[in-house]
Amino acid sequence: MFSDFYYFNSRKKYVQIKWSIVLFLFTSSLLAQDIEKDSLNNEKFSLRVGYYAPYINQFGARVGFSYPLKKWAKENKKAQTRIHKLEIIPKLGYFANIDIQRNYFLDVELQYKWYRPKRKIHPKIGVALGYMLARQNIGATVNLGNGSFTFDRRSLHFLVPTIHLGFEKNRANRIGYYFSAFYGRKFTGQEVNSDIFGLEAGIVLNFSKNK
Amino acid sequence: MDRKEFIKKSLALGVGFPFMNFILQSCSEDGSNINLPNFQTNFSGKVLVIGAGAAGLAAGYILNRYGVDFEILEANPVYGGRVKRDSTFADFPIDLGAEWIHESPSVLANIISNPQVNANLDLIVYNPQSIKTYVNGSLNNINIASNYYSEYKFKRTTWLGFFEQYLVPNFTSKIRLNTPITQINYSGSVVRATDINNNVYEGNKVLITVPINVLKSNVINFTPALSSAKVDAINGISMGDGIKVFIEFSERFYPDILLFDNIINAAGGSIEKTYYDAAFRKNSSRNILGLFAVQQFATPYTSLGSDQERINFILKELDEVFGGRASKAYVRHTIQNWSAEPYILGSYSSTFNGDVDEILTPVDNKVYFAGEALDAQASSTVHGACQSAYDMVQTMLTT
Repeated sequence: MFSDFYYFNSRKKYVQIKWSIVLFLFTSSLLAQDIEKDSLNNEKFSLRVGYYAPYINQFGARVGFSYPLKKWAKENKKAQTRIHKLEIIPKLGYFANIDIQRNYFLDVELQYKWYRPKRKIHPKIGVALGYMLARQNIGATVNLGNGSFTFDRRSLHFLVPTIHLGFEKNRANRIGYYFSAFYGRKFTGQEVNSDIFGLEAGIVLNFSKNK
Repeated sequence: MDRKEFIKKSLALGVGFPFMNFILQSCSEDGSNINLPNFQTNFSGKVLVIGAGAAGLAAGYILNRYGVDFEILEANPVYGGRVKRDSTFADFPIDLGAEWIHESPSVLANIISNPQVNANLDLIVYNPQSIKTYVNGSLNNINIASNYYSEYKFKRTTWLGFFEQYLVPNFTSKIRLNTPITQINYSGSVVRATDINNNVYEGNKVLITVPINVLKSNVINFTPALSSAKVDAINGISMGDGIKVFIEFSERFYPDILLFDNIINAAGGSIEKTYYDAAFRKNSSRNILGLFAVQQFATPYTSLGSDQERINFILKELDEVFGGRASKAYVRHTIQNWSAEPYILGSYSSTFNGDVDEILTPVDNKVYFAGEALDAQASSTVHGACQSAYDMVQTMLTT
């Protein structure tokens, strides 16, 4: 339907290449780290439950589990130890703008965080790839007697790569919290592509005694 | 951190904010901006309604409901005013005037306010997906804006069709067309309205629903003259130019919406010139592009000498944006120049520097005003015009 838009095809290719490069650079640089085999045995998983606010004006919730993949320590020139951690976090999310659409989001985030052992709050960065099902309102039927109305909906399927930046406090206690911002792009063959961004904040419930 | 501490810190971080949207939406779900008043009246006279636009027709609807004798005097050969339709240009009826439903769908039921109506009406959710801006010679995608904007439009009918089917049928015989009123004399015990052919219509009260620019143009003379306070209040409302153009193309080369301003202004709702896919979600096989321009953004089009100049200007503008594709794909067009309509004279009210309450104050309990410009909650809208008429009829019949 929109294939004849100006610049559309060239922009699509550009965006796809841009995202491929971002994913490649991020994952390859992480995997190239000098890994110390640390106490992954103590690192089990944590449950994350949070507010989820894509586009800021929409609301929802997201639940995820984080599984530690790798953990290593490094000393800098001042002999300060810094812990590095790589986690994978499958997440299920829901958000909606009631008048426009309801969205069901499944994604997997590869998250990297680093911290000094005595610091409670640490930064994190991640990349994620997700599938989003959007149930979009396209029509409505209103009863003129009582004003009630129902929506006609269609399903849209999106592939959604995102990058995440934020901070987290979750190591020393059973309950921690996190806050992050994300930005990405929604790709679909059914409609035009568009950007996605938003905020996320929630609690982290640790199911092991982390160090 | 325990649970209480977490909640405290979370609130401090403002993470409750996402729910604001839900709260705001919930408030507007019932289309509560309009309400047909329920009142008792012992008024037994006749009411003259000047103008058969949305407000005039709504006034007729409620007067008819209360069994009041009335007559609507319309200057044009058809009723509807800025609610106007073209049923022949495309394979769906086109709103040449008011088009969008700026409220929850239930506002339509609220306008009718009749639980006995056993009918459903199909609407489209007007939530454009492909959105572009053209600013400083650059065409940019802002598809993300689709997450911030959604309204409704009729799917198989129009605003005029809605009025025709659900409001007007019971009082069509009380609408007198081709009756431009030039004089309203309220000096005596009855109000006398005189038309351009010197026909005189009498009533006990008169409700004037003509557009604010018609009032400002002094097409209608009042005897005695309106107070200077009221005239100043009327002149304090501005109503700029207005035009709608629909163009059929042999191919689709345009987005759902093309804006000529940046995304910040677009998000603020200040856009008053837009090209838009008029067939959006209408199940149409035709490529119909609409131009909606009002206030100062309409003037470059309305000030041209002829419709041919206007369409040439528009095609040139579109060619600049879309690299010459508009002229190549052009099939035909229809133009509704609202500024050139002698009994409309523009688009709709925009800025309010006058005292609207002064306009709403009845004159000698005989002369009343209503219209889209005079509804405090929803000015510039069809449902605002209806609400204004409902409120003023209630005032008229209860004081």
